[in-house]
Amino acid sequence: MHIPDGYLDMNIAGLFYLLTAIVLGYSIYRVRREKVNWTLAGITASAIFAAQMLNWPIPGGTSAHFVGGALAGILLGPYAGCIAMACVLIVQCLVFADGGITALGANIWNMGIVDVFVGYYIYKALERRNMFLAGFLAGWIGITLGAIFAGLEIGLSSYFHYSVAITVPTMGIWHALLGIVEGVITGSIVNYISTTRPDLLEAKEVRVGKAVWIALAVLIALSPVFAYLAELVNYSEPLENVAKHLGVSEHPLWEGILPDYTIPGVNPYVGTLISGAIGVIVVLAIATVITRAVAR
Amino acid sequence: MVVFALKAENVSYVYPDKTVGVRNVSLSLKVGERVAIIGANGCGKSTLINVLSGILKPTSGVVKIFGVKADENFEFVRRNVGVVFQNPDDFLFNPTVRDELLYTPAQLDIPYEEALRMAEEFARLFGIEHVLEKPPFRLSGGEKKRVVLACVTMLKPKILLMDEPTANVDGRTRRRILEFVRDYDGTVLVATHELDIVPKFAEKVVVMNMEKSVEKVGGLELLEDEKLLESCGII
Amino acid sequence: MIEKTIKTATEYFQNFFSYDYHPKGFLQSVDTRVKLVGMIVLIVASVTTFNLGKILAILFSSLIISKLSNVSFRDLVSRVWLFTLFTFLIVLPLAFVEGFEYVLAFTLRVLTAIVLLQLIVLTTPFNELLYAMRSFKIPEILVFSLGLTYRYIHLMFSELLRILIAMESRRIKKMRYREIWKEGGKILGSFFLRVYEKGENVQRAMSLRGDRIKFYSKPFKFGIEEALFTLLVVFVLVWWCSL
Repeated sequence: MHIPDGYLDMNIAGLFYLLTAIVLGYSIYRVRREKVNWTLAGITASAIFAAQMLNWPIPGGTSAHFVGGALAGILLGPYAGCIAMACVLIVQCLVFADGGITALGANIWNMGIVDVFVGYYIYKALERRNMFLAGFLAGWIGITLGAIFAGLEIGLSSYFHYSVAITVPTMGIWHALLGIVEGVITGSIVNYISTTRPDLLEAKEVRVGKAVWIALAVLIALSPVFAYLAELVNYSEPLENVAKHLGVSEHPLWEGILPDYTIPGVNPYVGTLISGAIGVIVVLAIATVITRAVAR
Repeated sequence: MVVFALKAENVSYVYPDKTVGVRNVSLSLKVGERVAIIGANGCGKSTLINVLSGILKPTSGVVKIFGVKADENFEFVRRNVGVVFQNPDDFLFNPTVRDELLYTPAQLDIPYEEALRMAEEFARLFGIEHVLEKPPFRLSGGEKKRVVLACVTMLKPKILLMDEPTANVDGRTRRRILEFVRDYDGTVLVATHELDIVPKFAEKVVVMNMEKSVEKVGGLELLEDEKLLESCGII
Repeated sequence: MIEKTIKTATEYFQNFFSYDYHPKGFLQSVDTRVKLVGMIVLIVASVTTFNLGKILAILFSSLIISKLSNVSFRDLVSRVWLFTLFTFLIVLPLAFVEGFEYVLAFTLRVLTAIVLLQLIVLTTPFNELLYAMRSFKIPEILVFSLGLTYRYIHLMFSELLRILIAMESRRIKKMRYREIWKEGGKILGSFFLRVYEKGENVQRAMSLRGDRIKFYSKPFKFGIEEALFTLLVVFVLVWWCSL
């Protein structure tokens, strides 16, 4: 469910960086203001990371992995939980190259915000009824919704030519099935902790105000609409655009460097080839200089 | 009037879930004394260390460091009391050993270059300069202990509280740690359940009983008192 | 379950230690901030085009960079092939609609971006990244939590594995899937309780050692390596534009 680089176009990637920055930034602000024990967020993040590595056997001989967004929300509260999941995802990206760097915003949005906040609210709504059920639904719906968002993002992206009508059902149905494991595990963990250390689940620090609640819900619900709108703007190739503005692409570089060696009206294919060859030579030259400089 | 390095008067600590941690402990340490707290597993040694160092606020009673109440002057206590945890993994939370050694100077606003110099100096002193770039989880148990000692002594605390410093280390590291404790320039309190190490550094022994309070305070001769030790569950 | 988990984990933890085991080279000596910005620019350049020439230009340059940085080619291939193949198979059906060139370009873009990301990972120790993030004004709480996450992953995993092995050693009957999940959930529950206590201990240690969140910022280095790296990136961009 980690989206790699190259699947999302820059509109969608940028948009989700922005949305994630807003919610994550607000969470950090709340955690700092309310002096929540954020050490625990870092430690829990590493524990969730470890728990994600377990391979749970599922029928059919394959295995499923636990994601843990809803659990983070339930154990730490939504704000610290969101920070913890962001830590997990950033470390996965920068230490294990799991999930792309341009897609990091979207990945945190799906697994660190949608999964955490939705899971947390479902759990809060049901905790008085039945602990296991509350945990199960939080885990199951949280992860399925996160996957549906991932499907929306790659489906709307102009780079990935499968339409939303294919990506959303594929991601949604598949993760709704895998999500059962997530739900059962989350439910059992919550159930276990509620019988042995109920104080951990009750002492929930941060009160989420109603206005914030609604604002976040609206933000989450509307994010696919934003993504759709961002696509309409059609500004997905910043470098290409810069190049056009500078007029570089109209006057290929090789023409500038080697005006005498080119015959006017030369086959553009040959032109590209020459340009490519010159690039190769220059890169190799710079590389040689670097080798010398470093070897010094 | 004598000013004690550390003085606890009728200190009790009850955990939030109502478990008693320590019950009515009174203790006084003279400046430069080396004291061993001995007791069975679960007799409250670790809790006592946490209370004496001011990490846990006593439910009742007073802890004084050089005559200053521990909960009144936070910074004074932190600068004068160094604590070595039983598990180095709890203590070392930075990404690399170098960052670990830079943590304390950063807290004191010491400029970067000087902090780097301090870190190297203490690394040399404790023989850990070869692991400076490694993350703490890659170190051996003995190396971790030495990094902890380097971090703690960087502040040059006048009082050192150690919780099972020789647990899980090999013979050689154990000898080094005991020598370190013996030669440390200040007051040292060591909690342990290993009786054989006590004579190697301590001149005073505090025996704790299973009721989580102090049974008896005395010299090394208490180690010979089998009846006392047996009633406290130590042997 | 245990065997599979250990296999996943060892593959994962190889990344953890990879920095130590590789000989140092060019990219390792470039200031992390400069490196991060340059590499991200290259990643963006590689994914925002479907022009095969442009993609190949960046792929070629990144392979040159990896050579300069003493990153072994075999190692790099072993880290990127699986995902590249996966991507290829996913977009393959589109060959009928969009043509094979689209499929090839899409896959190569993803491959190039992964190679570049792997180069960051392989040449930068994590604490350097943390320093860089601080210089980029990312909030301290997040940076410090990241440090804790990185620091404790290994410990948490060995703890979890110990619990799992203990469970396995006491298991007698063969369990059904649902039982495994439920039983596993209980074990994870006790694991998270231990985690909570560990968190409290670390919190204590932190308050002992001073709990102001404070970082040194490393002096910014812009020497010959950084200049050469910038030159290389700028050149690749110009080349990219001209193709």
